[in-house]
Amino acid sequence: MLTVDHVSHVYQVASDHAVEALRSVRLAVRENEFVCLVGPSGCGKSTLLRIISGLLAPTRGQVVINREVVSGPHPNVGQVFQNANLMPWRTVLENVTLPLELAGISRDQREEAAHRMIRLVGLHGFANRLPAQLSGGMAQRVAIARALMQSPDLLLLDEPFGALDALTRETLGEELLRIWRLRSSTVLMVTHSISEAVLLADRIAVMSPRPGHIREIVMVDLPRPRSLDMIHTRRAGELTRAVRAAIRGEDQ
Amino acid sequence: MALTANQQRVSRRRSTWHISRVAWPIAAFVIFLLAWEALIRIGDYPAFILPGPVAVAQKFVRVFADGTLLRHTGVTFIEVTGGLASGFTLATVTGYAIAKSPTLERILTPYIVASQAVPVVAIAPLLIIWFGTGITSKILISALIVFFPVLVTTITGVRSVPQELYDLMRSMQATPWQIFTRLEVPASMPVLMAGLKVGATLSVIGAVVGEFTGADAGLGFMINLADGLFDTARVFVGVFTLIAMALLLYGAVALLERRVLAWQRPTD
Repeated sequence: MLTVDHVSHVYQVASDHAVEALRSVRLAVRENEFVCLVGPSGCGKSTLLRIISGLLAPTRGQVVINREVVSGPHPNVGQVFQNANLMPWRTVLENVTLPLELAGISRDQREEAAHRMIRLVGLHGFANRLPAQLSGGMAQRVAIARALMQSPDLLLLDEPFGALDALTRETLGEELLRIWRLRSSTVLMVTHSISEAVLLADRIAVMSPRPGHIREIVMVDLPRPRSLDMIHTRRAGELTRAVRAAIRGEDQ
Repeated sequence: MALTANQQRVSRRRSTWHISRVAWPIAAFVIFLLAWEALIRIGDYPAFILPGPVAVAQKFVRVFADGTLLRHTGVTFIEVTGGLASGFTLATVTGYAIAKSPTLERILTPYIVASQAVPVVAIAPLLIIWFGTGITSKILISALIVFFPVLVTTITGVRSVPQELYDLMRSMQATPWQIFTRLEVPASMPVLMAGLKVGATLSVIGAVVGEFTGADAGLGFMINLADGLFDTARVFVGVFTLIAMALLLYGAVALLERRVLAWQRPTD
């Protein structure tokens, strides 16, 4: 479904100074798979996500989604950014309808679709609120609803729960699994939390420090549907240790 | 029931808040008038130096009744609104272009700064020579004085649009026009409104400076003429009318701002 084919990226910071962010990253994600990307900060996870979403052109290599080479932003890809990234002057409903508004869908149609999506993410009754009136967790739900509006085949999540407190983070993780089950799409999610990755993912891709590349892929063989309690099982503990060891890696 | 009681309390608090909002400025104005009258009585100043509030009020009625005041006010109002509208439009268009193009910024900045380094009072005679003593030269002077602050706020406003929102718009395949209308315009609106407020008061100054330099109508012309005739009460009428006009304009912009930026004050 998604193939990242030897993608490298170099940021030209100044004429005589370049930073190699990614070095020959290879990753394949199957249809309806949930893959988490973990790694130390500054390893180029966000850069990789920007390249996959078409916001950034890689220095070398290519990204293929559904047998199509990515050359720019694509309606097949939905994105949730680090902070909810809502437009403060738009209500929840207007934020969620934005993708369809840009695509030229009629108001009635897009609002009907948005109301359904708002209900799906558990924000029924909040359609007319402004972002300033929402908690961080609610804002992130709006962002997820917005990303799902164009029915993307691939959902890219860049540390979507990074700014939230631990409790909200756990509930939203479970919510995300529920939504993913209902909407069956492919998910690639960057996260800092190993336990979150173990709880959510089918596979965890571990990245090395800069220049980032995929150092190891850990299969998460916990049964589905998953629940928060599973994080305490012996198998989850083993997987968490395995991922942590992979992050610390050969460099130690 | 609890909710209704609460709502009543809220509405009562709102209404008292409204009364005090109007009452205090009125009280302050009355005190100002009384102090003014007292000053006249104690100091015993001749009317051509400082006329009392009663004399000014009588003069106001007279110039209002014979149509002089309305005619001059009308001319100044056209100059002020014309200057504000054209200065604001030009400044926002230029500001947007500069914010988007560093090259353009490098080319234009010296000229813009130069135009600001020279006081408007010094340029005004030139504009009167080129465009005559009529309304056009006043509109230009007013526009000139409005231009710079609005330009600076526009540049700040457009540059303050968060990069993440640009990324968001691009990830949704927004066209450049959609990015302009759906993101850049609303996102820079708060800063733009602040610029319009500053511009609204400056536009009055610009028009009056122009009228003082050379004109055959307008409140500035009326004040200048009355001053030459030692008709100080008429000067006061002109000044107060100018103040009223500035307040009205500022109020209109503030009202517009409340409407446009309603999202900044969400009501629960």
